[in-house]
Amino acid sequence: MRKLFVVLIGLVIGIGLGLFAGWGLIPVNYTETSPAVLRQDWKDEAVWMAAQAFAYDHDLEAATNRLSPLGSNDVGRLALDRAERAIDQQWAAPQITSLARLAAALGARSARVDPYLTP
Amino acid sequence: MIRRYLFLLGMAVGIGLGLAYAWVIDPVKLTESSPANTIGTYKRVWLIMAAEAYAQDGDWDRTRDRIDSLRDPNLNQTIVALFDESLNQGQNSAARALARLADRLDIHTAGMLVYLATPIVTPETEPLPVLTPSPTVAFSPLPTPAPTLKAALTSTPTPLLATTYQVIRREPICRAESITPQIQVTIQDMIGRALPGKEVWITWEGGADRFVTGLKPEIDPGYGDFDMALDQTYNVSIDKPTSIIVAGLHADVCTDGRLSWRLVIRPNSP
Repeated sequence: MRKLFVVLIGLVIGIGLGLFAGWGLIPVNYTETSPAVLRQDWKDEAVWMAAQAFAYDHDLEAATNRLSPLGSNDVGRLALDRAERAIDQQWAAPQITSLARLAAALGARSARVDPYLTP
Repeated sequence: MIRRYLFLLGMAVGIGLGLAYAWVIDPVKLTESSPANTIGTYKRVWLIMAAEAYAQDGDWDRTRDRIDSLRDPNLNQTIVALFDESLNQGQNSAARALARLADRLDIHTAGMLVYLATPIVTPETEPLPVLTPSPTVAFSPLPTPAPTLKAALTSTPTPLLATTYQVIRREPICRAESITPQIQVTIQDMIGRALPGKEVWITWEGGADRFVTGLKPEIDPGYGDFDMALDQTYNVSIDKPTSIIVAGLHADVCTDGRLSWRLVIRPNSP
């Protein structure tokens, strides 16, 4: 009986150590993740880059392909949300324009963002 | 003594069970990844976006942070490979932007030099609205280890260059049937110097393709060619497909085989 108790104590301590190591010290290392699980600030950066790239190459298909992996079903809405947050964050007008034009090209517009579309 | 062994045995089994649970049954969920951990195809997309954004605004500090976020130990090779890929796929905007990014990183290939040697010509320019002139440019901070980001919104204007061209030589060449007939174009400036990096459009009924001069410098720095299909009639334009300067080129039958066409093109005098 005592021997069984000793084994159980060892087992419980071992499980605890195993969980601590597996979750904390050496967790599963993800290397090939989907862009959909990018941290939000990286997603924001990706949308901003896509807007800048669209201003550069005017390639709507490329812009769509660049935004689609970010996990949104509506890439136009994604760009529009970024534009509205850029307004909230008081970005410079030309930068908001880049985002607004991308959103509009993708079919997403709003009353807040529309004034930035036209010179 | 036996109890100690039993304790260690129990603990070893427990560690195994704990690790199996933490790694296999219920591993840590990844909800906040970084560009460095994303799939390879998206890393390439990220790099092209960073290059085009840099070409658009010239903000090197921000671009450096963007490409550093990929933590690519072979960044130079990646950029060269991506440039070649863009070039082969006819993605001139991406290729030009990557060439500029590579130049900033002191990476040079012959193909990149062609793009760097030529001015950017865009078919149209849209003036940016300035609704609320703001004395300071407020960028959102970059994620993670982001040093101070400078707001260098120095987008280079790309004026509409309305250069028109003329054909100064149009020469049919009869080549053996076994050799694919070609449209061989050499573009020169007004005093006859080769012009690399010019975009030449070949159009035909229901299709279009393009190439850039200068990729075969061993022939001529202003040279580029296009393989003709036997059943098509081709038009040649410079810079954009609509400005046709040579029309009706066909790989007609000739004494030795099929006709290729050699064209020498120069800008019109202003």
